[in-house]
This record gives sequence, C-alpha cells and structure tokens, in this order.
Amino acid sequence: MHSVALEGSAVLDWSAIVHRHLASVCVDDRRRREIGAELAAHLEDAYVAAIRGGCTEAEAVACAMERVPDWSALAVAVERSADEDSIMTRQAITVLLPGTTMLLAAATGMSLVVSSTPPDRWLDPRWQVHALAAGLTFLFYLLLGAIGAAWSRHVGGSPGERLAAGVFPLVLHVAMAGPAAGADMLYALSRGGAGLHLDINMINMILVMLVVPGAALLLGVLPFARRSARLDAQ
Amino acid sequence: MVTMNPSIKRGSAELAVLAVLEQQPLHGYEIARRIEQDSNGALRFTLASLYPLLYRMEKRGWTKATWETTPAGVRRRCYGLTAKGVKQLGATRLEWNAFFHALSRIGGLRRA
Repeated sequence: MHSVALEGSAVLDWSAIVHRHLASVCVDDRRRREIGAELAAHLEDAYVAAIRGGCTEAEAVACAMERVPDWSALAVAVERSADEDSIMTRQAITVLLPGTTMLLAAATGMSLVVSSTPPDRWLDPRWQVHALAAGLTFLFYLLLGAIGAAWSRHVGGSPGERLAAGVFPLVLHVAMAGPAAGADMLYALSRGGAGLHLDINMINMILVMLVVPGAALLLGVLPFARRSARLDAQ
Repeated sequence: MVTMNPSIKRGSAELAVLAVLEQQPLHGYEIARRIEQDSNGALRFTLASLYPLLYRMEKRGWTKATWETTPAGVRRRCYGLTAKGVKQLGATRLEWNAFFHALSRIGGLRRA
C-alpha cells in the first residue's frame, strides 16, 4: 500500500490517486494494478524526498504532483507503450477475440444440437419439449453473452466494447437469417411486390434467430457492461 | 543550466536510462533522480516520459524488472539491464558518438 502518514496530517493514498486517474487505461487488470503500484511508489518516493529536503507537506505534495503535469497524457502514453509491439490492436483484443470465440462456441453448440437431435424430435407435438429447448438455448446464449463481456472487461474493454463482444454471436444469426429474409422478400417482389409482407414463418424466424438470442446475449452482458467500481478503485 | 529542447530530450532518454542502469539495477524514481542529478537538471523526467520508455525497453528485452522489497519493507519494481540491453547500450553510444562528431564538424560544437 502506497500511503504516507505524517504527524498531524491525513494519510496520503498515492495508490488511490494513481488508480483514479488511470482507470480508463486499456490494459488487463493485473497489469493495471502493477503499473498503478509502480507509479504510486514513484510519487511516494518523490514526496518523501521533498519532506526530507525540508519542504512542508503541501510543498512536498506539489513537488510529487509536478511529476505528472498531465494525467491524461500519462494514461495515453502508458496505453501506447503497452500496444506498441502488440500484433493485435485494442479492438482486436477487447472485441474481436472474445466475440469470435463466443461466436464459434455458438456455432459449435448449434451444430451439435442439430446433429444429435433425432429428426422426429423437431416435429414433437408436445409444447413442453419446445419450451425446454427454447429455455436451454436462452440459457446457453445468456452464458455466451456473459463470458464474452466478462472476457472483454478482463482485458480492459470499455463498456461499449464489452457490449460488442457479448452480442457478437448475433453476427452468426444475422448471417443465417439475413439471406433467408432477403430471399423471402425477393420472392414476394417477384410475385408482384404488393404481397411484400412478413408472413408468420418469417416472424417466427426473426423471433427465433434474432430477437430471442439477442435478448439472451444482452441479458448476459448486462452484469459486466457497467464500469466496475471495485476494479476501478484498485 | 541550459534549457534543452524536448525533442532532443526524447531522443536521448533511451541512452540516459540504459546508461544509469549499466551501473546497477534501479527502480523508477531512482532512475529519474540519478539522470536529473548527473545531467545537472538538464534531463528531467515526468512519469509520462519515463514509464512508457521503461515498459518499451522491458518489452524489447533490454531490461528485466523484478519486484523487490527494501529493508524498510517497501516494494519497488527494479529494472536491470539484460545482455541484450548491454548490447543495445553499446550500439546507442556508437550512434550518439557518430551524431556528435557529425554535428561538431558542421556546427562547431565542443565538449563541455
């Protein structure tokens, strides 16, 4: 803990000061803590040296703070030094990597379900079977959204990047439902255009392919979308 | 003391850090203090100029950083030169020597 207590003075918590200013730096949590501890130690050393040199407490604080004339410049410089030699850009780390991994998990899950379900089960007349399948699918996507967003947060993603990473598997659904919807519309147009409407099958497809998984992914993202007070305070 | 142009400072910072670390491993504050002291105040680092440089050097394998606990029980991250860093220091010194020789021929510089 980088705090200094002086006789008759409040405790100066350099770690808290540094972490407050560097909360937005895009590095993983462990690295952020390490950088914060190191910079706090530097400021503490500067402060203690100034006190030993005969400065008053206020002068010593000012002397230490002179080392950081611009906190936002420091945050940018630290972030750039972390990214400099990295092959991947920030968005690749915080959005594409967790997002595509979750998308692959969704694709694998869907193909496993399709290949392992007997054909007659799809036509099962019992609504409970379909409700159970829908519930399990919803939970699966909820989990994918949560993992994607948590992963993005862990590597320093902003709330927007966590959201993008969490709902990324929806790209798969759009890719599948989009051509079908397009074909349906073209078919309607070829029959005169006046019949351009969303029939019940199309509404079902949009619900099953986009609305339900999208809602599940969003719900999964929510707990991780807000900036964590605990992580930011560290 | 002569006020130094920031772009000259930036260019020379790498050499300054490598040179002070050649003597012994040091933590960030001590690196900045030694450079400021040895340059008679001409080279002064802010955190924004020192730490990104230290992190880049570490990533390039020129330095190795380890957390150490001082006798007073305070943890500090100390940077030491690696073999690659020693080699880099030699190369950087050669570059700066060549640069100064060229400048001295053109600009009539003399050693202080």
